[in-house]
Amino acid sequence: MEFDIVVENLVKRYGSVEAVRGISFQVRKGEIFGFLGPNGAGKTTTIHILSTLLKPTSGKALVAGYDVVSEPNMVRRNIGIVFQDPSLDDNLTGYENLYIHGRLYGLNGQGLRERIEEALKFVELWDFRDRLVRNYSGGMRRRLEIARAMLHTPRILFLDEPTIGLDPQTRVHIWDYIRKLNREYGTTVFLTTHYMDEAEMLCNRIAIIDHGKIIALGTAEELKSMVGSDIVYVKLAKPDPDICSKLSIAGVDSCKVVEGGTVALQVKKASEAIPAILLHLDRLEIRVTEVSYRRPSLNDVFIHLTGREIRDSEGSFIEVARMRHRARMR
Amino acid sequence: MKMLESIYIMAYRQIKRFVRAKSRVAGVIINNILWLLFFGLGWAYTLRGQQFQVLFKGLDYLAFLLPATFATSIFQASFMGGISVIWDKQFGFLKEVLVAPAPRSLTILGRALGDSIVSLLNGLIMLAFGFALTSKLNPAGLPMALAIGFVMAVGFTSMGIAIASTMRSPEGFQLIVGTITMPMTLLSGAMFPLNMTPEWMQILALVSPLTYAVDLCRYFLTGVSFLNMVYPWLTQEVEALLLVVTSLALMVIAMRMFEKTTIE
Ligand SMILES: Nc1ncnc2c1ncn2[C@@H]1O[C@H](COP(=O)(O)OP(=O)(O)OP(=O)(O)O)[C@@H](O)[C@H]1O
Ligand SMILES: [Mg+2]
Repeated sequence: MEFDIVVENLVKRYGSVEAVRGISFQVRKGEIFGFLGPNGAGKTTTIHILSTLLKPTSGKALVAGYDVVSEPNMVRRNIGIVFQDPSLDDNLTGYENLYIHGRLYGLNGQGLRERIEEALKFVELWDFRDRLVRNYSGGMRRRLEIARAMLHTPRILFLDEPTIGLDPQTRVHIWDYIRKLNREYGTTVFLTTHYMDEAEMLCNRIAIIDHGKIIALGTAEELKSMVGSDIVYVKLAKPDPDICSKLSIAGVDSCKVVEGGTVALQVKKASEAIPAILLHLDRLEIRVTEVSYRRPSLNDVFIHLTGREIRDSEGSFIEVARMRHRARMR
Repeated sequence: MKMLESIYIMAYRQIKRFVRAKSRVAGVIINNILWLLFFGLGWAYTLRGQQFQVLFKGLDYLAFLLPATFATSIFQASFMGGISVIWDKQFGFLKEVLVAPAPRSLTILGRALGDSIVSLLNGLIMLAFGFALTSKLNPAGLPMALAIGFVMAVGFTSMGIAIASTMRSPEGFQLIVGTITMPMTLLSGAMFPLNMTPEWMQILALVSPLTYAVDLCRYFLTGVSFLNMVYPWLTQEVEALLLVVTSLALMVIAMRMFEKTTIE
């Protein structure tokens, strides 16, 4: 079989809220596939449907060749999952958490002990195996969750925001584990994230999801080529909502006003376009306080597609609130 | 084999968690001591005279109360045990269980068995104090009392799990447990002989399986059954049958309810 996950026209409604609005995509065997999107885009909902925890309102999803609605048990046998929110038993040790998991997946005896040792060593937690999870740090918990998800050597691994709230060093560490898992065991990985760097560093292909819809899908390179070229940011002394109409000059492919009186201009080659733009603005007597440019990032792709930043102010507020919530639950 | 596996591992987890929670264990023991001391001894001294022994069919109050407390303490601990389902919802561990290939009806069964063993231990501690306080209890009845205790523990743990499966907040659950536990304990005939109460109260009491459990435990540990004296058709066999059937029914309901739990 060529695809490990096939999704067709998937819809999920919670009452009147339509969290997932008809998405379709395929994940290839052995691929690291990413869902990139802002808070509330429908990433977790999709993962919960694919892992048989939620029933879709309509549409079809096959995981490892099995239908998530009619053959949930076969799907469950083939997947491992790291949830966005904590899901460990705090009152047990790291080892005991894995032991229970293993038995629930039909492993036992010497085989299980060896798997636990391998998984704990893989995430470098073997030395802490007898410590209560309650006394683990946030990064250690995340690593333990990864070890647990891989314990039964699932064919497909789901990771819902695997590095949310972790420090940069730990994030890099976890990226390494994910890559290693994919390389050494051939595990297909489906991950969600709202970190652009994470999607770019890890994923073979990325689907950008917003308001329950996939708005773009491809490799990071392919996505960036949608924006095409360099981006020039010009900060004006006085915000001007009509600035774009005044900037239709040769060399500027598109123009978008972003917050704080800054204009994002798409150009073929920034080094040549900047003098022309500045000269033009100078003629119009529009004062410029700052100019910068960069090669397009996934964030620019997102802005290009939606007109918003992927991490708008509301989004980061929600994230802070959630981190507090997680902290309180411990 | 696979089936036993899922049951075993969840029971293992529940027991392990209980043993880990030292404060919970200590709390149970202290609670038991306080109850026996202040309630049990208090009434035992009040009802000391010969004339009262008639009320209790020749038993003294402690011998009347202790076997019943064994049953009611198991009842309370079992029913309350359902709260761990809600904690698991809140702390996320429930998702881990729900996404596992092990059948949900079996994982919940294992959980009910684990919690039942925990509350049976609870009852045993109570009973150990009982044997220390009075010499009128018959040790030969212990195995039967334990069997009855286990059957009712499974039933009431299942009842707790079934209710908890539909709820989100521990506070809400505690409220429900409180409103059900109190009347059931009072009506069970644990603290006063039911044959002296008005008929409507007796009828209410007969609806509750706890009443049978209390009467059976008392019968096996002291040889006196109060229900049988008023209702000759309520032999020990009938009482045991009613108890087993209700426990099984509650267990099946809990399995069904848990199958339907979602994370929505
Ligand atoms: N149980 C629920 N009941 C009602 N609405 C819900 C429920 N769960 C999620 N939603 C809504 O569905 C939408 C998608 O939520 P979802 O959790 O899938 O987003 P997400 O992409 O995972 O976001 P985040 O980055 O914050 O985790 C949101 O608008 C959310 O408010
Ligand atoms: Mg999410």
